[in-house]
Amino acid sequence: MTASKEERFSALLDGEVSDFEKRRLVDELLKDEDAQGQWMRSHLIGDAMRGELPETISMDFAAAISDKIEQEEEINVSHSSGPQWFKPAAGFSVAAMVAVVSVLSLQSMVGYEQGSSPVPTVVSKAAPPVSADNANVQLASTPVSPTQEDVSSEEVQRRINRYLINHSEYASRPGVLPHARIVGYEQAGQ
Amino acid sequence: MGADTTDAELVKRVQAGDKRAFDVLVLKYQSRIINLISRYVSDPHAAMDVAQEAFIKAYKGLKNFRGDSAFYTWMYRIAINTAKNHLASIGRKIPEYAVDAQEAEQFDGDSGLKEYATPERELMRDEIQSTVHKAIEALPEDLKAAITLRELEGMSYEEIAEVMDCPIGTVRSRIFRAREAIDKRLKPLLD
Repeated sequence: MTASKEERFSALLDGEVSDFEKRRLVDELLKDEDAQGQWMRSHLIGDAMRGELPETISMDFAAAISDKIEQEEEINVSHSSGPQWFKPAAGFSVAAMVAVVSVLSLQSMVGYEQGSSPVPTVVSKAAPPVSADNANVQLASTPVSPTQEDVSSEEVQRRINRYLINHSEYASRPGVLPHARIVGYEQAGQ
Repeated sequence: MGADTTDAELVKRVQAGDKRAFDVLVLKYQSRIINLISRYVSDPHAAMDVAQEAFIKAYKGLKNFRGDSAFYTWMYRIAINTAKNHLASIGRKIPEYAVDAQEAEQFDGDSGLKEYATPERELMRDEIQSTVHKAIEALPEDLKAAITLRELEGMSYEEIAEVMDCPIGTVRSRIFRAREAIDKRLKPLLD
């Protein structure tokens, strides 16, 4: 004797069917409202037996959720103005702009550091290879004046020294070591 | 096999875009989820709203659900978080008797509810409860044993067959006939 459809649904509820039968029964369940009613009541029976019934029971609870989901999806569709490609394109544009700005700032920073270097490397790079006799003339004619460089170099060293002295006051372990560094730097600089 | 595998099939259908499969999952878990949320949210109508919100969140999150845990464990977690968020939004403390996701799977839903119940709200629940219990009492012993072992002990058909010393097909038939007999009394109450 073959089992009735209702009996097979009862077994499906307990997960006691083969994979093939399960797929077939789920197909039927999704199409059959009476079967869904039986499904709901069968679960309600189990919940009642286990004392898991809630205080308020609404038979339209699932339908209300379904309606709400549908409403939200309709709202989302109407709110998503503009073509579908807009969001990724906008994201890409922002990323590209950030990348360009980063590269430009990096370049300008590098340029600034090179230009303001207290070490007279600009002069030696800018000057073509010359003979020892006219080297002084060549150096004097370069746009970066040696006097200015000396001043800025001294100024930078003075600032660094001041910074290191100030910094040593805030050092977690005040003592000989920070001062030893300062002395060491001055000696090396001179 | 197991009820989880049916859930997994339904989840697969939802992920493939079939909303009706989600309705079926809601029909299955609505009572348990509302009951669970009632442990956090005292007002029964607010509990229904929070449960609705939890199911909607679950629906939206289902596309990312990979099935690492059972659907109901995942759903319980969402329900508890939604209830906690609700309490936080209204500035209430999370009650001490609230349960976590693991406990929720085994907790006795009847406890902790009575203090909020009103006679009107209890009426439907009590009627269902009493109808089901009366119907079970009226069942022949073999059907009563089969449905009890299944619903209260959570035994598989194979385990029940072993306990009752009968073929699995007989267990399947007994459980179905027990449900059918109870449903005959319950259906008119809900229509």
